[in-house]
Amino acid sequence: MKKIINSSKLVLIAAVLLFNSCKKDDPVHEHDNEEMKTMTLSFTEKTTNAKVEVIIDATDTKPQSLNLKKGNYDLDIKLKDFDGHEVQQEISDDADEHQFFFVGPTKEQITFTYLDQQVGLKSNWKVLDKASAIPMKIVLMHGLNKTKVTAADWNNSSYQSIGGGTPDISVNVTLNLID
Amino acid sequence: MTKQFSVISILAPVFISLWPSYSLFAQKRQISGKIIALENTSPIHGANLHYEGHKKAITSNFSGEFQFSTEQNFPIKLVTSLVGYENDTTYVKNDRPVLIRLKKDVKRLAETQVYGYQVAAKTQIAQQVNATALTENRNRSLAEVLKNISGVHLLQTGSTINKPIINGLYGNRLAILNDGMKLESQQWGNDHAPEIDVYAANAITVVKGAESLRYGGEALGGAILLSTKPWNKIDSLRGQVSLNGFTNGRGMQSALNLEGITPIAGLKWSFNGNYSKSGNRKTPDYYLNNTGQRIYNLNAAVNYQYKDANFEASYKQYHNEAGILSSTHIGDITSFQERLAYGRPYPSELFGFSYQIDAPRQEVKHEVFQFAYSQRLSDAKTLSIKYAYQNNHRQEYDKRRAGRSAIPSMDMVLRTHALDASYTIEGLNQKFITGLQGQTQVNNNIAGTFNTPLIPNYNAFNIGAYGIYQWQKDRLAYELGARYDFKNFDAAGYDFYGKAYGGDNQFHNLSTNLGLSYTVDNHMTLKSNLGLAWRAPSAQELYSQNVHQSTARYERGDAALKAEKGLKWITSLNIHEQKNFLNIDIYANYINNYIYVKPTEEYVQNLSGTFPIWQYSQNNALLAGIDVQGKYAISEHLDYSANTSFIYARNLDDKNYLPLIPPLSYTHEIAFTTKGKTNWMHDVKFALGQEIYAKQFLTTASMEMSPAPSAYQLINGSISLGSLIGNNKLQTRLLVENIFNSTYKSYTDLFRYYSHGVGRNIQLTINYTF
Repeated sequence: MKKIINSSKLVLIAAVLLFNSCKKDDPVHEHDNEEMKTMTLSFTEKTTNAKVEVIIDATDTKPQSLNLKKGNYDLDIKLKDFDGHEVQQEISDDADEHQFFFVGPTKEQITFTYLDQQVGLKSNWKVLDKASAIPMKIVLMHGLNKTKVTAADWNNSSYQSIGGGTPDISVNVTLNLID
Repeated sequence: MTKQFSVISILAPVFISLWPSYSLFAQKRQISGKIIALENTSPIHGANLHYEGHKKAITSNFSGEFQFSTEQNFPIKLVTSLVGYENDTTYVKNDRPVLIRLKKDVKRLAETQVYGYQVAAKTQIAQQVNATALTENRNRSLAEVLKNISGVHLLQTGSTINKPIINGLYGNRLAILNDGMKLESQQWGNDHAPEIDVYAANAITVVKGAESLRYGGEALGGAILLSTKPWNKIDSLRGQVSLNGFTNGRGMQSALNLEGITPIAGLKWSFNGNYSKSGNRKTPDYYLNNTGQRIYNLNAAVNYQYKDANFEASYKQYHNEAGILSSTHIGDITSFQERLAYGRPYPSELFGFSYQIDAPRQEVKHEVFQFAYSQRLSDAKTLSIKYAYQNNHRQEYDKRRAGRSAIPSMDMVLRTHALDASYTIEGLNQKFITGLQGQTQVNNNIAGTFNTPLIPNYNAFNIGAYGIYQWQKDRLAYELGARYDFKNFDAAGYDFYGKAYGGDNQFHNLSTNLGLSYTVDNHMTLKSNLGLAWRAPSAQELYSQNVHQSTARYERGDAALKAEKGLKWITSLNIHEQKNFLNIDIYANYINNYIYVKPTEEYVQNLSGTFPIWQYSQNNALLAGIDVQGKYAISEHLDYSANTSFIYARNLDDKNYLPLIPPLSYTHEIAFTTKGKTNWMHDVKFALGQEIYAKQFLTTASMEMSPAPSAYQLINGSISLGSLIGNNKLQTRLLVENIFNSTYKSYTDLFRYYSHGVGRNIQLTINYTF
């Protein structure tokens, strides 16, 4: 009987020691590299060199306006994460699984050309027509099957069902094409 | 005819038409008797009787009585055995009832304390997976095995990840005890299967009462108990080899079980190892991309018995790597709704068959070291001490940029030390058990994921003390118990914006249990159980603040949540006679401060889109239902078995239905068994089964992401052949599931928004027992 009490005491002491030996680690603030905070759209008119810039932020509460006069523009998109690091290079490195779509404008209003490997970080926009308040959705799809998507799908509203994948960016912009 | 038949005819019209006269064996010799304990003359329930000319054992009923008929001539040799008692051999010389007295096996009793403190109670409402169902389903997940019990359903996250739902409750509202120690990883959310290796289990029991008393907090909806083979049944080197192949997923599995004794008297060992690999599963129309799985498990244990003391040490390891259907990794609410409308993966996401597992995927490792010591202090007193260290490691990989898919986006380690001590005093027709359970737990996120952790780092400390008193008088058995628990929960983390959150929470709780069992007659038992149970909110419910990738919703925890308290009343009627039985459970579970997620009018907006906010809140809820299960022997060779269950679950404050409650279901099977004449055709079984699931009509639209899918049925069939090779047995089984390759969606499948359920599967299993 005594032996038992002794051995159970031993178990208890061992347990108390073990119980005290483990405490949680101090938490670490993980810098999220996946989420993006800002997207900067820089349009440059090729003949006049006129610049149009729109900065879209994760904290925006309503769609920004993008006003483009008739002309021939090159678009350059810059993306920043929550730490302020530019991440567009990561996207062009994985060009085979990323693509931008600009859903809203028609092919009669804009002639659109991807200037990179069908990613859309760099593109050419020829504004042909006048129109106001076109609701435009800018989407960056990740992990899509690019063999099922062509460059002509740049404004295809069924971008998700034709290619699959997940939107990394999905924002709404009001597009005004002015004379 | 007798009382139980009138009850059957009222309660189960299904069986009436199938209940013809009962006199198949009328011309044979009727043998009956009673088994009692030598020490105190109390009846012994569950003793196994073997008699000449009959291979299967029969079992004594609740009153210790048994009866059988035989064509053998007197005297008939009758061998009675029961774990914890010495074997008895009696020769029956005439038709008069026999009285068998079993003597307690003092040396072996310690080994029967499989569950340590949780000595099986007569008043407990529990059902065990029958031995055949367990043998036939060893290669499956825990939830798939338990599905054979009425009232148990599957909560699925796609085709390979699933967890059990008992009477409408799941996750950390159920306690899962493997070898007497609680599995701790259920804090980690719905898309996480319990780390249980069914190959290593000898018996699985589902306890439907709310028994926080025995199993600690969290047993609000019940408990699942898994136990390994009792050590006293191991007397030589034995083992089993299993090979299994299946077409859907082109899967293969192999398992080896070994057990044996050593030259050192009292020292025994057991070992189990298994491996399984499968690829993409297939619905009737398409392959589910990235649904491959790899599982490997190891279990080893040694036991040493010295006089009245018993020592056991064991190690278990479970490892599971599973791909997550790629089309469930979605973006914002608009893309979710688009997917919902489509209801299946887009054609661009169908890639055919592959074994490859890519991100998104999860990798889970679970390890347990366990030591148990029990000591018989005298004929009436037993002390038992158990210690377990459990290490759970979960890694989730998402599809990320710049090679970060290879870095886990969630990497958590949950370490638990648990110590249980119990002391039992057993007297004439009464028993008192008292115990102390202590537990410390640490959850750490491993830094370097470049992703905000789902839940914070935390320390949890829990201590509970309980006392249970059982006594029996004539046909009545009672149980009364109370337990006090204290839990401290200290959490700390940083949110997405680098803001610190967390804090220290304390919970005090009192649980009680009142159980009653009444033996109406030899064939009918009525049990009733009233349990007050509780559960402290989990880390996720308190602190979660993140986008849930598979449902496009932002889930926000509430640090002010209080503990849930549940009062479950369950009554069970069991009628049995020879091979036939009928079991009916009726229950009502009132839960105060039931925690759930509820949609708000708020949205989170960021560059990847718009996400509605779902907030963790609490209300009072009621879950009530009925489970019916039965078996009827139509003839000597033909058996019909069926089970059905229905649940009504409502939020009493918000006046809406609780989501993810299994719909009305009816599962039945007809089986033909016969004995062959050669060793190769020793026994043969054909079975044809149907599973019917109604549409869940008790839903509230605002609580659902999409309407409940339509009703469906699945037809399954199997042929199994048992062969004898010397003294060893070879069992071969061919199973076809979803024979007609029906297309369906299950309401309790969290991936039903994106895909259908799996199609036809043909499986071949070979078991060799030596």
